[in-house]
Amino acid sequence: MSLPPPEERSLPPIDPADPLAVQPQVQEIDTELDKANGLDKCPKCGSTEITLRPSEGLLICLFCRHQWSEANAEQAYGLDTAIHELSGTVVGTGARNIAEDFPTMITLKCAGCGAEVVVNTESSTQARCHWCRQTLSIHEQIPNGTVPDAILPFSLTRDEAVQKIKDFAGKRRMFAHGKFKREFKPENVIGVYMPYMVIDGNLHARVEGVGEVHLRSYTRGTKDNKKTYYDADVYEVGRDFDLTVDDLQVESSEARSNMNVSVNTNNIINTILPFDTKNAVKFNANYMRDFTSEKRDINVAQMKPRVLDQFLSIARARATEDAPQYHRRGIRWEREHVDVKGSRWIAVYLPVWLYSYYETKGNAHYVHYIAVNGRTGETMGSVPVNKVKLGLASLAIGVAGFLLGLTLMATGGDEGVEVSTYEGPDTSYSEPYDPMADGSRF
Amino acid sequence: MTLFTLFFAVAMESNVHPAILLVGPAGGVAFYTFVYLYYRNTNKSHNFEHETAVKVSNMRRHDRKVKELRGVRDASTDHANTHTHRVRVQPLR
Repeated sequence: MSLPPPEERSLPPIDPADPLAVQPQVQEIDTELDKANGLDKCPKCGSTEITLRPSEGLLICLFCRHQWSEANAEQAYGLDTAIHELSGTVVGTGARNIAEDFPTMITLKCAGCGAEVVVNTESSTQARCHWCRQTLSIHEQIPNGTVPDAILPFSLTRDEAVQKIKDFAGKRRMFAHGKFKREFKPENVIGVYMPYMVIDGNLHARVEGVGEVHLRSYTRGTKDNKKTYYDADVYEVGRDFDLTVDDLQVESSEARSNMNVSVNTNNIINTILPFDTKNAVKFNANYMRDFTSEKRDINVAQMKPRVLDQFLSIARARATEDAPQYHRRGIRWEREHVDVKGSRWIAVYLPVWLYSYYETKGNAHYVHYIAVNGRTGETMGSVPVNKVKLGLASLAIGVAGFLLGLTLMATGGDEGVEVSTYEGPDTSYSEPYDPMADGSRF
Repeated sequence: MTLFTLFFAVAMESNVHPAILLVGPAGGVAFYTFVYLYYRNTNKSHNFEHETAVKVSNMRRHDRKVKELRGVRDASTDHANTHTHRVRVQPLR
């Protein structure tokens, strides 16, 4: 098959091994905050007792009740520029490469009393000074993946999340494992800020294959030997197009990226995507005060193969949508390619309410999650199954169905009714589609 | 008379196709699969292909008829992958 040559582009030739590598160099978007690590005070009264009020989406000073919000990250950092103009790899400074062996335990000097306070950045960006009780925060983009470019605060309250988890599990009681039912305590849900990379892509895609257009179907034969036949036309199919991808959200933690359902239920957390990342704000550790977090531990370069794979899947989906005439019989896509002209990578913390249940299988543990999107409330979960109970119920259905079939056979009609041979098209007949008819296609 | 000969005798006498006996067991397997997936959701993931904002432009189409199929028994294109977008095919060079 031969498609017309693509438009001439100024990009260098593609290395098939890594199409994302065509991007000449990495440009950075500076998202570094104008704050040093340490005390982060209320702009009105100077207290460090600041937390997020999810129902309002605002930070609130617990001392003077002053409320405020950080600026929208997209507008503040100019992340809303046209995606089709993106060229090369653009990375927020919060998505910079992680330095090997950079410590996760960060020691800060309290500006209130001079004591040394340790922050465990594996699960938090704050710690309280044991001596003067003030809260110290990490705000600098230290090269260990702790501080992202932006954060999307929780807007779903804990009570709302608990209710959603109860509802989800409540619909799955009958065949749930007895131990799970006895130990189910949705109040143990925790709010976690998970690390994600939000990616924009300026792409050119090309896919080729074979598609068949259904013309008509008809049956021939008698009642006992009736067969359906089809008429169809076979086409070479190609789609060549530009596309922009806006805010593709991908896990930037190595452990969370592993979606092997035989060893974990990370697919559950993946399913509650997407988030309304357009509403992410500039990072402020106080948004995370009452929550826990997991920090980013992989770099842009390591994520590229997975992101390219998702770009290819998106391109295939769009090409298929553009060829509805083949949907009835199907298309066999045989070749595909995505040329990444430009991409933008922004590291973001996204809010997830997470209920975990540890199932013990011999010496191994398997964690079942029920996850709630901390913004949209979308809920997904894994409830351990009582396989014996489910197996017996399925067996009962199978046996009952078999006996019913036997009864039907035993009491079946005396003689079959002979039907005449049917030569014409059936009701599924449809007019043949000619994609060349409009003359605009080549 | 063994159970098998009983079934055989019933099957020979009846006008109902013996395949009806498989409907029950198949229903049991389908029930197990459906309930297991409803509880465990091992088949779920983010539908990024359709839930991500995408804009397509400059679409160029190639649809060239190469063959006619008449009176074939297959209801679908051989090895069709119309909606399995995540299964990779040959890279286009």
